[in-house]
Amino acid sequence: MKFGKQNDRGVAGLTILLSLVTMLFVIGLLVMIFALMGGELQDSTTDATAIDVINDTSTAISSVTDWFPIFIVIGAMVVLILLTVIIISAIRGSGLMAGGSA
Amino acid sequence: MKTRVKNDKGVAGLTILLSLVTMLFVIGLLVMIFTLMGGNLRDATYDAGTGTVVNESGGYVNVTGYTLAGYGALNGVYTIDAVHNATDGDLLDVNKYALTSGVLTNATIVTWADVNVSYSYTYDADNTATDVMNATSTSIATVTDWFPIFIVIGAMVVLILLTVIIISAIRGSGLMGRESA
Repeated sequence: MKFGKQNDRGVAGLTILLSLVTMLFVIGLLVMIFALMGGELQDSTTDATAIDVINDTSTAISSVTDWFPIFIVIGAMVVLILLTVIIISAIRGSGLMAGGSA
Repeated sequence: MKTRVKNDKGVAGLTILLSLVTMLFVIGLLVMIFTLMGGNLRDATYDAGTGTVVNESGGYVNVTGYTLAGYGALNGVYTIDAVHNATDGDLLDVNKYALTSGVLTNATIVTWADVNVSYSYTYDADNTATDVMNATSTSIATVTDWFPIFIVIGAMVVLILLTVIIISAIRGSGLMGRESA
């Protein structure tokens, strides 16, 4: 897998957080639409098995939002870590710390 | 991991802080828009719910006002169907009481210490879709809780880089004796 090289400077991964927030909203919107469609499908049939399947599907898909807070937390952690990396790089680049052998 | 070398001189990382502030503003704006959109989507998706309570006991009709036990449903609209005197079972005249924001009060000088209240109401009922949009909006809104710490750490970067510039300037001036490595 090839990772694209990030050329932006000084943003400390905030573009990642921005993308994350946008993606979460899009996923949430999509899941809401699926839940609405599932509800309508469920209401339009009388077959018990079909109702169970649709209900299970809607419930399972809806549980994806339970993970959203942890995604936000981890995204914020990425930004904080990258900010810390900037600090460490600045200190190392200044020559104030003696370089250790690898 | 390869670290990019910063070539700008004398800015002490203030470009980082500038980018940080700009990005935080953009993210905050986006989160606000998403929250507004999510709220409107959720409100438009509620199911119409109805409820009926028959002979809720423990009520009273006086100036203090009795709050209906079932009051508090989302965007609920409450209507009194009947109020009976709990002592003798008499039906109270509809002009003898009033209902405002779920609180039953007397409309005349006459009061009743113990009544049974029957009422019905309509409200916005949750469903899976509204729960999803509610969870999404709430989760996304928490991103702003992190903004202060980003600002603090961004400011720390600037301060550290300023310190580095000061120390480098002092070292470069020859005021400090050079140590052997």
